[in-house]
Amino acid sequence: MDLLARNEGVTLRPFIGSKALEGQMRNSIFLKVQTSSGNFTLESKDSLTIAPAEMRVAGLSIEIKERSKLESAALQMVMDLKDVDVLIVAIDGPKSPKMSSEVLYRGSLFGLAEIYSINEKGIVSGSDILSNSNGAYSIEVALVHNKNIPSQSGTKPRKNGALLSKQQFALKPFGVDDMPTPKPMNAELKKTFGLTPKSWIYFKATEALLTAESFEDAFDFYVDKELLDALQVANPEAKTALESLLLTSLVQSLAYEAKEQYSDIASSDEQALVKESAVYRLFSSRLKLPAEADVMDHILDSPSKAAASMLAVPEVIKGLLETLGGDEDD
Amino acid sequence: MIKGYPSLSAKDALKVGSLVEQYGLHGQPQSPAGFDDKVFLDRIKRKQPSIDFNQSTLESLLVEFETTRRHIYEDKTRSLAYRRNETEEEFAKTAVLMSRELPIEAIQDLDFWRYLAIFKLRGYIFSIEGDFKSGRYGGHGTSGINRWPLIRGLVWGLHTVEGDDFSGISKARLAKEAAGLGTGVRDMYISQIIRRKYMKTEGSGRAYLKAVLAAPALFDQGPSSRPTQALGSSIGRISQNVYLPALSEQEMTTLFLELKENVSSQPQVVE
Repeated sequence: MDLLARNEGVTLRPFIGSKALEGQMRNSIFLKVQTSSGNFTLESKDSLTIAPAEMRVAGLSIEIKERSKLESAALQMVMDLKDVDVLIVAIDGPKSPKMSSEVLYRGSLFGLAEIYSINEKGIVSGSDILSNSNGAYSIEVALVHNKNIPSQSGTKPRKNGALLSKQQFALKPFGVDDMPTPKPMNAELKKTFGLTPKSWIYFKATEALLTAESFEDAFDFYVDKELLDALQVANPEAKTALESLLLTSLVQSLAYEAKEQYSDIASSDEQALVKESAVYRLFSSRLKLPAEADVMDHILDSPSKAAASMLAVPEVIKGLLETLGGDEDD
Repeated sequence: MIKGYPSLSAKDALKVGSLVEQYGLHGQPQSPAGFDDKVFLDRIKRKQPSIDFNQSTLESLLVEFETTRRHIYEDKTRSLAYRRNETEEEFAKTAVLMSRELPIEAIQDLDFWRYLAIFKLRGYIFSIEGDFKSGRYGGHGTSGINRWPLIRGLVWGLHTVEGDDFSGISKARLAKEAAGLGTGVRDMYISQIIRRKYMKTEGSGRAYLKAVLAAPALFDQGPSSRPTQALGSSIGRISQNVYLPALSEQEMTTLFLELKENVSSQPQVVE
């Protein structure tokens, strides 16, 4: 049976040097992301959450560092460096309906520049995957053997396409998947809610705020309809600023409402349900507390501080500062 | 042209979808398409007003699909399983055409598919699934979207069609029927071509089909004999060592054929 058809477990690393190459790739290959909220450098397995409007126009490039070490690690696995190709591949996230992938670049490891531009900042990507503002995608950088060689070695790659090692980076829009979409609020709704005609934002928790498994059953988050319509066609900087503002308001409202409702949850059965709720999961993922810490203790202690912690993400503050004219050099 | 594409939130889809389900089960069995949705039309929201959406293109594709669907179902000389299979194939073709003729922003938005499920294709969904549970259209979120019948159809088509050649959508069924082994290939398409993660690689679905249908062809014959599953698993394992995006469709076919040599086409016990 052919070596490449071995049926070992899926984490099989069949080639000597694969692990070392993977480690070197981690130190050598980075995804640089330029957005209106700032510039970010992603390491292997990093995931960056950015504004939906930025997803289509983010500047993306692969940066190669420590090239000689990278080549040296690859050379441990192949006869000649000319036998190694680099592939840069975009892959739809699990919630993208088309479930596709796209090879963005294929060339020799020699031929890949120190900086390879995937997309220029501000330009809508021609790739369907990279221009998706509704869902996550990942970018893989893979080193592969590019030819068949007549060898029976079981420890070195000898087939075209054999994977030496790869790195993966992910981009995901906030406001999608982990955050709810604001609902439009017209004059009639404002009247129904008892708001003034000039109100432009309103948070309304349901009784199931801390037990519902979906945000949609937990609360409604309304924004003035005209403002929401304008947001759809606003420039990326304005969108980032307004989306950050909406996020801030939402997180603060959630923290205070959660404190209010948790006080009414007496039984341990109900408290156990809380940990399964969408809102708790959101708190937990954004607070990043140690495993032994209780998320609700932080909310009960000070909803204001908890909200501040949850909003302490670089892209929010950078986006706001840049819109206000500061932090342009970062 | 209309500014913005139609969409329906998960919450609104669930509200209307629950009523559709009740109607389908207790009111007019098998025909929830007759559900009066007029009072719910205001739930449809136009997203991304900067995008021109051609509603008549969508309507035209749907009318054509509905005509074909009715034609298939009215032919009672064939089994229900056959007709369901063929109807799904027709939708796969329609979904691919949608993906080519409608704005990509709509195709990538699950709320657009919820709109289609609730307002345009509920009759189709009910007919192939036998119910209209929220999991059929994402009424409770976005988990497992490849189990939504409409997304499933889209991926069925995208992973098997090449250019103007749509034959991959129904190739396995036709081959199985020609071999006199029945008609059921739906599970193979769903479990192997739609749900396998490695099938995101362009051309891998078609390469898999070529390998399955190359003589001697592999055909599943019930739970005790699923050679297509064995081949799919084998490809899954090797995709950890061979980077499929680095291979052309022909190279993938060759590789899959090599793996097929170790898969028995004879009935076997599946544990």
